[in-house]
Amino acid sequence: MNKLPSFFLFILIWYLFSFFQIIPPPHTVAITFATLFIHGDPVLGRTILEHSISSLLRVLAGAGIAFLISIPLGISMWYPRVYSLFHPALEILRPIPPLAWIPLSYIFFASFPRPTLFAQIFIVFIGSFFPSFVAISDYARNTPYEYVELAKVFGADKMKILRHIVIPYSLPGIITGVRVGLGVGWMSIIAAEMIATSGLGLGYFIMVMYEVGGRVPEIISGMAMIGLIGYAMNAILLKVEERFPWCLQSEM
Amino acid sequence: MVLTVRNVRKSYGQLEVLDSISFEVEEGNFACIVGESGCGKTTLLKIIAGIEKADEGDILYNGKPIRNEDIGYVFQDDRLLPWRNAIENVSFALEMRGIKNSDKAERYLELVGLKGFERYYPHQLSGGMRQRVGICRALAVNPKILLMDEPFASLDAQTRNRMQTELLRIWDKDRKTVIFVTHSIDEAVFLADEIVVLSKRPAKVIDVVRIDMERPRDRTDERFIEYRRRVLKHLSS
Ligand SMILES: Nc1ncnc2c1ncn2[C@@H]1O[C@H](COP(=O)(O)OP(=O)(O)OP(=O)(O)O)[C@@H](O)[C@H]1O
Ligand SMILES: [Mg+2]
Repeated sequence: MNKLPSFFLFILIWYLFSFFQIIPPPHTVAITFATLFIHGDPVLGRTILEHSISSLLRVLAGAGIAFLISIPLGISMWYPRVYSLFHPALEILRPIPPLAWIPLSYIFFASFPRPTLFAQIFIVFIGSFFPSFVAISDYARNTPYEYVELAKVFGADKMKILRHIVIPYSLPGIITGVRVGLGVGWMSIIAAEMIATSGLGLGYFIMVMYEVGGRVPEIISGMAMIGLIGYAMNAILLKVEERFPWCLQSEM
Repeated sequence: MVLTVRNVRKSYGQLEVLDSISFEVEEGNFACIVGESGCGKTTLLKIIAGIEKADEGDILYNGKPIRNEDIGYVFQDDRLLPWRNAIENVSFALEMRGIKNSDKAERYLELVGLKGFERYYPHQLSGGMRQRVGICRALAVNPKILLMDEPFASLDAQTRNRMQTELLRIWDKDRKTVIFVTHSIDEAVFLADEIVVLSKRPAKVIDVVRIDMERPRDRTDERFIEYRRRVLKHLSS
């Protein structure tokens, strides 16, 4: 797929909006973006890359912990007993958006050495956990019985079935889960950073730029960075997903 | 050494599938089970393999309940794991049984004429090749009894005939006990030492036909045609 036309269309619409003075034109933002990249922002003195890395690290921490739990838990949903034990409770927690956890988590982590940091990582955890858990458990629970039967006919016990059938079959679900989980975690960190002072981070940066008097080119630069990083994470994992022939078949 | 199927009954809910099936297969014999579609052949084979429970009856091998490690199974569909290539699909069975692989998987692939295709994934193989990998997988665990569920049903007539000849060639090497399900009478008469003919559902054994012809069999031979007629008469009545 050629992505250039879509890109040009986007720039064109942007120029249209800037023509009516709604937002600054792309080239102004591009210059601000470059300045932010090289010299850093006017208030905090940090480059946009530093802000990005700070946000990214928090996402990796929160999402990493989420995956450490969602992968084994999602896979074990293959056992009907485990499923009936966990599923109803998780279905009640799942619709609560990560943002709704913000107040509670700031209170909960108040006594920790770096309360904001812990609270933010926790919010990312919430954001990453549920989508990845759902993607993984969907695959695990739908492991075709034919494959299980094959393993049984050659004498496999439950452990071997889990290891040699359920887990490899669920691998595309794990990749999808990681991809979607990172995406939601990424959105959650930005939101969490906007609410509490964190000193560094893209969400915090955007908020500060707003508070010092609506520095729109800086705000848009921050947003662009969020979009670019989110896009890159998604694109890399999509490439990995494409390598599994059976996930394409099952979705047809 | 003998495989005994004794009074096997099976229903799925209200649907009576197997109605007291009994027959025996001598060690080293090639038995075919024929019966029309939906009569319960796959069900019977799964019961023999122990992956489906009979409501009543026993499966005995030398008078003792049959054990999982006695059995190799070829499914009606090829049932290869899409995340494993040909050789890994063969070694899957060895791994499940805890048998050391060494070069078994490779040797058996060569035996069925798949040398050079070891690293191909199922979606890169033709239907006939996939079936051969499935057969290989069952042979590799060196079972005492080989259960085969219409392994050639999805192949074109020419490939099918070639595969039948190849199967007999492989079977002739160590003469395992084979139970081969098919609904092709021609295939059964070509392959079998004896044909177990099942009735419509609920399936009963109508007849066991011994085929006393030397191999390779000539499909145009009069005796061949006579055997076919005899089995056909049972099935169409
Ligand atoms: N798991 C199951 N649950 C309910 N009914 C089943 C199940 N498996 C098979 N049956 C029914 O049992 C009957 C026999 O099925 P089976 O697959 O044994 O037939 P078959 O002789 O192998 O047919 P074919 O030649 O088409 O493969 C069918 O009517 C089928 O609907
Ligand atoms: Mg069948």
